[in-house]
Amino acid sequence: MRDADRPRTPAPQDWNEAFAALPLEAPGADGWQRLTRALDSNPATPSARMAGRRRTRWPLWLAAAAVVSAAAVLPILHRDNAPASDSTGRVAVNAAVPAVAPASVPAPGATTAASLPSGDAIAASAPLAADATSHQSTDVDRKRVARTGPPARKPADTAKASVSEVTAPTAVGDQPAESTALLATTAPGDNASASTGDTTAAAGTNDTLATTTGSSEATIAALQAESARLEALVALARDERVASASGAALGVELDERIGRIDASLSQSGLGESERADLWQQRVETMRELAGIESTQRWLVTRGERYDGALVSVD
Amino acid sequence: MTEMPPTNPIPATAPSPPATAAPRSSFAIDVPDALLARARAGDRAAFEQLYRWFERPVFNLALRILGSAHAGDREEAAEVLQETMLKVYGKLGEFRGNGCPFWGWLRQIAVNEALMRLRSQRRHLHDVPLDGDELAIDPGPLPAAAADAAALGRALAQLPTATRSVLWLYHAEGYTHEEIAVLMQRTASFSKSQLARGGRRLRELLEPTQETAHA
Repeated sequence: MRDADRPRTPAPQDWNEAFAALPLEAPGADGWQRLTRALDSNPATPSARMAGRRRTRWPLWLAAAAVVSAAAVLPILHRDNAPASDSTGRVAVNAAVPAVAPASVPAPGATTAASLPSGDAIAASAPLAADATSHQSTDVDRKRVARTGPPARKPADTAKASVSEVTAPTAVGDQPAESTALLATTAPGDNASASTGDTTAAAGTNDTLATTTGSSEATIAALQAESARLEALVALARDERVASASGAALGVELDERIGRIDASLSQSGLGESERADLWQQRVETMRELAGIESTQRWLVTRGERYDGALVSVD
Repeated sequence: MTEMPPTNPIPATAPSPPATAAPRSSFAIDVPDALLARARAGDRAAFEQLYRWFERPVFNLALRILGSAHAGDREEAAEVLQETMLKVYGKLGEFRGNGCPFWGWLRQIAVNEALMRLRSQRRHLHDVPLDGDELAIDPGPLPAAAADAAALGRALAQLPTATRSVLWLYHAEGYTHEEIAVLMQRTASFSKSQLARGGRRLRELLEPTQETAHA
């Protein structure tokens, strides 16, 4: 008999037991998939950063194209800039940055050890200036970095701490931000504040620049070179065919911001510090733009869109 | 592969539920420290393990608080589950233990999320808690139908949202009246009165009346 075979469960004695005996209903089977998509689409979550590190890196063709493009552009910039003896080292050091940055771009929010030495080299541009020796090898530059004192690392650490909060679209910008202690004072992810209003940070940056380089002209030259590299990267990464509506809107906004900065730069009578400020803003805005364009291309290769990355989940 | 959760003893160190006559919360799952550390480090598989262990307790908590009688309630409960797990994931690094088990910490997030959603739902604005004699104590043993899970579930669904929430938080999760008052932004007296009235109402729903018995 079925009833006799069925094990008897004691009747609940109180509401506690009665409620505890209620069976747990199962949620939908797609709950984990939905959660995974939400975790991956929110770059602020640790999972997105960790997942970015584990995911397949950018397509090799894109990384290779970025390296080739940067390598092709750099000699032209180097020739056009007519480097002086005290800035040659820095130009050579900066040459290491784009070679490193594209390789590290595939991992949004990720940091690469390779990016640090070149950044520290820029932070240590005062010792480099004193050397007045032309060095083309990044290995030599990294040896110089080894002699750089701890204080030069602090701005980079600060940037790194703030970069940890940066969203994926600024990943590309993060690498130079982390690698260039001198140029990174706020996370590129702080869109408005980093590019428009953070004059205090910019002033602090300028103070550091003045201290470490001793020459605003050299600083501006370095910023111009950085800006040119970012222009090349944006030109390489931008593809109107794959731009999402929100990504394109962001790109347009940043283009307009760059246009305003360029208009300001074209004004006559600007002081050295003002020019340096404006170039600093241009570099920061270009980083944001490069990050957005690069991330759009990266997401497209994964069959995703930038719009999803903008969804914010509390 | 998903592992079976460990046994669910009520941890001796858990601040809630209370030690005497403590209800056995479905959340009371001991999470190994190693698993927690892996999840905190970003191990997606480890977090999935946590998700699998706690998805039903969270979902059911939300279902009981938000209700299950209306269309879309399950979807809302699923959203509470989603939001809860996202917050858990985002705040994993903030969990330090300090005497509170992980399941208690997670449950608190789930309760807050469910109640927050409840407060934001317009359809509950007109959901009036039970009124009546506040001093009346729910007497006697449970009705036999209380052992019928389906009947009990249906009866719970018929209660006003606030009343049901108090009942569930008290009887199923072991929160005190003071804790419930804080969670629901009410007073402890409100919690006590709703508990008493809700118990009586459940009894009425589960015990057939003279009229229905002869029908």
